[in-house]
Amino acid sequence: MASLVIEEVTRVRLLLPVDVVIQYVLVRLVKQFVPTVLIASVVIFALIDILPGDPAVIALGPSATPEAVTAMRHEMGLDRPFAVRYFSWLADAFRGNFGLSTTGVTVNKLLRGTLPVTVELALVAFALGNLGGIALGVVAGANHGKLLDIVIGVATTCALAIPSFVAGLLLLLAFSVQLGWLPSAGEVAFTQNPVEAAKHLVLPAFALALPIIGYISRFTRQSLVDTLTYDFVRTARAKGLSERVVVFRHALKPSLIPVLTIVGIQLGGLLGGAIVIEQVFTWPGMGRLLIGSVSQKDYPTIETITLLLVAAYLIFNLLTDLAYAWADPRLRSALSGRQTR
Amino acid sequence: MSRESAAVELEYGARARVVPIGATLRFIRRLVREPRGLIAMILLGTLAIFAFVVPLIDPVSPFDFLNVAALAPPSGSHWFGTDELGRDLFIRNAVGLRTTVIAGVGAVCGGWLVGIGLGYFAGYSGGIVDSTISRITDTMLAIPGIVVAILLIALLGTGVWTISLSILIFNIPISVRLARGAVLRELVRDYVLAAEAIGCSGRRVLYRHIVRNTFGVFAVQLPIAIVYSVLIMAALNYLGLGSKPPQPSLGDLMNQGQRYMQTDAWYLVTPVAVLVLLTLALNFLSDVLAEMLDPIRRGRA
Repeated sequence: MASLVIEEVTRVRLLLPVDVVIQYVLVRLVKQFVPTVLIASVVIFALIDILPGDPAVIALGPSATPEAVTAMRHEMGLDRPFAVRYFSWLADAFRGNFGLSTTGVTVNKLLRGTLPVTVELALVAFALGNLGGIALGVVAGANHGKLLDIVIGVATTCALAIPSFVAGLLLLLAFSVQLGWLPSAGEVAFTQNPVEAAKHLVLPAFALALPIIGYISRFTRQSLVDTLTYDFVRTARAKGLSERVVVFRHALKPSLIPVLTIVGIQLGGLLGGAIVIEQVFTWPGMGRLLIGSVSQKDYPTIETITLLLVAAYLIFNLLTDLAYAWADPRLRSALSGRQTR
Repeated sequence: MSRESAAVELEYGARARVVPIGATLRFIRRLVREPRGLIAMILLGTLAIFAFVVPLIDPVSPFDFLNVAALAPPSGSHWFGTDELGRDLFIRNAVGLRTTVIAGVGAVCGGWLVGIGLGYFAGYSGGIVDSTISRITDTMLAIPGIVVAILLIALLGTGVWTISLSILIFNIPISVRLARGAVLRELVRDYVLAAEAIGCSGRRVLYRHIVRNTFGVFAVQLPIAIVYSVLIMAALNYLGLGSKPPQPSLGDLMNQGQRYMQTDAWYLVTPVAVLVLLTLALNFLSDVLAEMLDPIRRGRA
């Protein structure tokens, strides 16, 4: 069966794998993604629920009469059983309605102000990290064993070892305090002033991207170095092609396939890192909202943001696994076999 | 001795031998022959003296409001300068590092003890026990560590103990998975079969045979877990979720230092430098350990 699949794959490359991939996606969704999100949501809801402190009492103030509290509990739906409250919360969350925060504003409104700002930061950092990492990795791999490779190796080791928020503090100190080139805090919308917006974005995005640059560049370098040992590279060199053509025309493409499979997993980590980076650069996103909610004990907001973070993290992990499946060695060998011909 | 019995001796010998001091010394000598290992050991030694010896012998207290100008730059009497209340930053950094390291390492060790125990239990028991524990572990691993920590802090309130507890908790699933994987790899080995064949009880097979053969896995992963935990601890303290003043920690010092960075850069630079040196040293150490303990990578080098 398996060999049949491979033969089919080499001939009609797209038809069969799509079938296999769809089946794989469904299995992953039903058996892993959905249960994990549900378990996580139950845990988050239950943890917040067992907290001391009755929300009805908090809403009414300490001087409220017991009758008023009972009426308020009924109005807020707190007298319903746990399971009923959980499912109505979950159903509302699915419809994009996350309830009322303790500040009196709906959580949706809080999210509308902060979520796009965080997404903007994360996406720019994601692009910067992957493009920069691949570029550095290719340069290092093409010069492997030479001085440039060693310098890049040391730099990426540091980028991996130093946490992004500490790197952020150092960048802040160097570029905004000492040199005064860039602003130290805040965010400007791109629609208002693109130049100022870019100036505010560059330091936090770079700090957030540093670990990705380190990781991706090491991975890319190793992949390119491995590819350069293949026979087809020797053939290309034997034909008398210049080293540049050998690396960029022949070796680069196959060596980037495994790299593409790991870019997705970085997004999940980015969201966690963004929580701290937003604090460093006073970036008015979801991370700052989360930390502010923790100190104000705004549980509906905490619940919502953690649930969103978990869901996003799981989605990116799922996408990464799919990329792995797509770049399965059997598929890949079929592909590279085509290229050596 | 025949070759077969020598092989058996080898597999059994690995569990029974107590590591002698000579072997430990040889191991350290091999470690420091590697440049990165040497750098790591020197850095860790210096930082250990800084964190654990300096607070004992330095006559200055981290809480004393000294009769000097607040926010004084580094000088002969105050190597790292003073903070906004005129407290000596050298000793505050030392105590801050000590707090961070003790809490971080303690939390990792606690979490790993629980996690390794659960992982062995799950892997060796199999069946419903295994699938239940694995399911819970997978769910916990599906949530980013810092989110777990912040959620727990939201529930339990801020403070050093809460932070340590949350770091302990998110270390559990990592170590469960490691230990479970290690047991499953060992269970198919011949020596386990042999031990079961001669009538060892399940508990004896697990404790006397499997546990001692799976320790290498943890030696490589532990420094990484410590780095990760110390960093999350520093980040949580930086976010203002940790220790209460006046007790310093590295994260608090960074948080405070950032407020004065426009005029007094050293206030921020010193705790950042201490933390960077610590993470670099631990990263180097785990790299070198991984190369030394992994025969495949050793062979390639």
